[in-house]
Amino acid sequence: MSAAYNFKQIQKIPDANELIDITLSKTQRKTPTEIHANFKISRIRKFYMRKIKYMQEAVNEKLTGIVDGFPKLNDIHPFYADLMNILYDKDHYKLALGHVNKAKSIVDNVANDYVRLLKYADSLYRAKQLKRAALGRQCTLMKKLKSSLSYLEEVRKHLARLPQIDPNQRTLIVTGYPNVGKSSFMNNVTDANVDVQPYAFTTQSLYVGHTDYKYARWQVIDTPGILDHPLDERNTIEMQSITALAHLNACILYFIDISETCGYTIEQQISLFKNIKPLFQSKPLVIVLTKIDLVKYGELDKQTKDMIEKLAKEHNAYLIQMSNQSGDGISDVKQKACDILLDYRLTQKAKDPKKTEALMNRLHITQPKKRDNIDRPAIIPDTVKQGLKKTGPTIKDLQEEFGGAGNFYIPVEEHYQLEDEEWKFDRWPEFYLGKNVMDYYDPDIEEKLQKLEEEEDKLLKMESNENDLMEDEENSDGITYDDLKKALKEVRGKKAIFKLNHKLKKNLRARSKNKKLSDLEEHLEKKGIQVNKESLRQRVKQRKSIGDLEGNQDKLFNKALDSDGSEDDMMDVDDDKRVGRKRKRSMSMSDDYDEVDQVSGRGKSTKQSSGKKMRSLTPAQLKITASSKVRSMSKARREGSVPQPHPTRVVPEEQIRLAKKINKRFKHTLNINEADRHIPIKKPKHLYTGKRSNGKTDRR
Amino acid sequence: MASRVQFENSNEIGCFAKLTNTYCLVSSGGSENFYSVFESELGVHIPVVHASLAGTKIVGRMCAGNKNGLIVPMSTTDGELMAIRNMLPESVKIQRVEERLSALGNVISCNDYVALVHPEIDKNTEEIIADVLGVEVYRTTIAGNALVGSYSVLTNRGGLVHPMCSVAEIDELSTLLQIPLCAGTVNRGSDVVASGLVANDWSAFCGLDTTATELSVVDAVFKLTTAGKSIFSAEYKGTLIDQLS
Repeated sequence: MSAAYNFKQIQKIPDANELIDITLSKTQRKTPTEIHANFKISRIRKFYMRKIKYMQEAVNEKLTGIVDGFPKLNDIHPFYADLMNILYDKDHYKLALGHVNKAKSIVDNVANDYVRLLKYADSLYRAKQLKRAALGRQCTLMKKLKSSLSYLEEVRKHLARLPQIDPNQRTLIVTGYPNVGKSSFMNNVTDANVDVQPYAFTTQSLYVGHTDYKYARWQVIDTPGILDHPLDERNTIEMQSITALAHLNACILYFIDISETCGYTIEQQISLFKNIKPLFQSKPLVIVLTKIDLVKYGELDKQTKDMIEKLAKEHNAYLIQMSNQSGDGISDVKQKACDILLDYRLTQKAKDPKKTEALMNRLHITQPKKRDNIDRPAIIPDTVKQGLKKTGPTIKDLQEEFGGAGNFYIPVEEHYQLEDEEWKFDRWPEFYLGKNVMDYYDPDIEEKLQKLEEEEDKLLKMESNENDLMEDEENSDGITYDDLKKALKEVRGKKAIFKLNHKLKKNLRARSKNKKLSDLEEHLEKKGIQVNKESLRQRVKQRKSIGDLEGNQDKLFNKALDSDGSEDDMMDVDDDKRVGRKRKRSMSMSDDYDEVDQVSGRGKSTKQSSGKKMRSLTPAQLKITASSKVRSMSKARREGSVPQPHPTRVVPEEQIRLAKKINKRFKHTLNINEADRHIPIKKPKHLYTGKRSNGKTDRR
Repeated sequence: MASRVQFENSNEIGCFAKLTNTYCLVSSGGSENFYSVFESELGVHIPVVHASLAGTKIVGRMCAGNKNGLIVPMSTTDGELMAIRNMLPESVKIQRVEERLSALGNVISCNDYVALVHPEIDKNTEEIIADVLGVEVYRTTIAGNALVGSYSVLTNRGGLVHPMCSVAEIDELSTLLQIPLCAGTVNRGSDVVASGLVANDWSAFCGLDTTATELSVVDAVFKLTTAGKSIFSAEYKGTLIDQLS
């Protein structure tokens, strides 16, 4: 189609100097620039070789682009090939392109030569000189292209302005002497706006316009007027017309000015026709007699008329009268020309039966054979039949008005057709409590809900009825319903109290482990049970002394100290134990200090001093220090460590309790503590910000 | 007279719109240009609504429907289904089908009375089509293509099929469908007619690339021009042949 002959796409051709600038700067930009004399020579050679090769590629690419951009005269439609020959001179055109192409290969050779030479360069300086020479020679070659490039640029500019004529489309060509009304016809028939002036050769090149006829587009080509002289004497302007006439498979409209106001007689015009006739042999032909508003065809003398009619008959042409001024016959000319062209084209195409066969399915609408008696009418709403048209602004108009696409849109809900308009924009969740709401949708949901509600009402009613009935009724035992209810309430209340008490006791059990004997006695008395208080006390004492760790320790302690104080304590079971212990320890503690003081002889109660002096002590003294050691050790015990119970050593109860407590804590909570590896901040900001020099990865 | 439309610089308007005699689904784009072409032409007659199916814009290829119903693929989300349900008239049944060939628009081609379906469509789907759309269902191919929905456009007044369809095949299909048929192209020679054309009994929309000849063929086959002769009349046949060859 016409896209195949779009000469507007050819890229602009730079002139020689521009080309040099482009390629040199590209080489400079795209290759490395830093080189030093102390580099290895192989590196230096490589560096310059790269520059030369890059320059060569850049030039090659540019020149190839130029050569390929232009149409090859042998490949394009003969109409365009001829037209270009006429306009730009085929030889010149080919020479210019050939010149560019040749330059391309010479540049390649130069580059190759110098790359080879560079292998022998033994210093930076020599290599550089070789590179300079190579680039210089390449530039010189491009400079020599100057005339060719400027010529090609001119051709390009002109080509871009050529009318876009599609040589394969339906075409009408308007031709004739200058000033016979060709351009006026063109203006009348097509959408083209061609300059019309009352002098010869107003139209100096081909013009294209388009017209519609029978659902199709027809291109009409307006040609410059031609004069009656031999082909080799024709000028460029005329030759364009001749090219179009010769190469385009079109309908020819030969215009004859019967008023002769164009300055040429009818005889001259007929002789021109005969002259150019070989160009459109066998093509559809219409002879148009123009300017009939000035001279009617009937008013011509018989001789002229005969001449014209004979001409038409001889060449199988149609004769139509027309006036551009009054508009008479213009559409006749167009219709006739189009019709005969169409016929001509169809007969040509019909010669290929395969093609027509393939088209048969697209040329007619198949009508169905009836297969049953079902009527299948078209469904067309009444509004369509009434021809109702939309009034008011469309959404697009609204969008334009309110800020355009992206700022304004119609929500989907706007289209909803619901029972109640207000429901349109109701918000509801797609998911509710992790469930897809839609999964629970049921078309009969309203109905089901109503049923459920009815059922509930019914149940409620039944219950209330039952209650009413029961209140009135009396049991067989004579107990009323109310009494029964009251009793039940009482029972339940008591139960609740029990439960609460039990709960409370549960919490208190641990603490009330050591019940006081007096409490027990009291409790038993309250219950009315006679108890032997003495035996009870005895039992308590026994339980205390055996198996119990604390009891053992007490014993050991007593043994060690050989004191009677503990006996008193044992008897005094009713007293608060903790108080007793405390008192005892404070006593022993003070004893301890006294003893240490005695041993050391001075006021210093340090471990070291006591240890040193130990050797010189008497057995009695040793005995005493043993006890003091226990004390002092216990005092120095570090907080949190677990004491190892020694069989011969007495550990105070308080310490055991504490130890247990601590143990318990450790057992249950394996918390992170200082023993665990811990990195406070994984990526400390100061290590990751700012520049860093060597060896500054972990401190800055 | 058919109109030429473009959806966001694409001529495949059949992908982005679904047109039937009782409703028109249009996918929502960045601007309302496409929608408004349909709106101005059809807005007073039938609901023209924005829709999406399975989160895509290609509503025309994803669903199949006629005046009685609409069949959408399983991948349609609940929200979309609800929206479409709310937008279309009560008389239009909407059904989601579990079909392996999920681009239902490509495998089902139907008017209000007959449907042509892909030969490998599921048996259950076939039944659903018959029930929901209220049509007779025929498994067939068009010019050797199993995607009947892509290569044909049907209304109650006529149909356009793939250009390589032989005359005998068109005759057969025409008898099956009981409507006049013609082979043709849209969008300057595209054989995927359903992607370049949507039509119902009184209107049609083509891609912007559609040539005058193609447009006049569409007008003629769907009987959209009330006055004037169709391009198939003897008078214009010459142009038609000249343009097609």
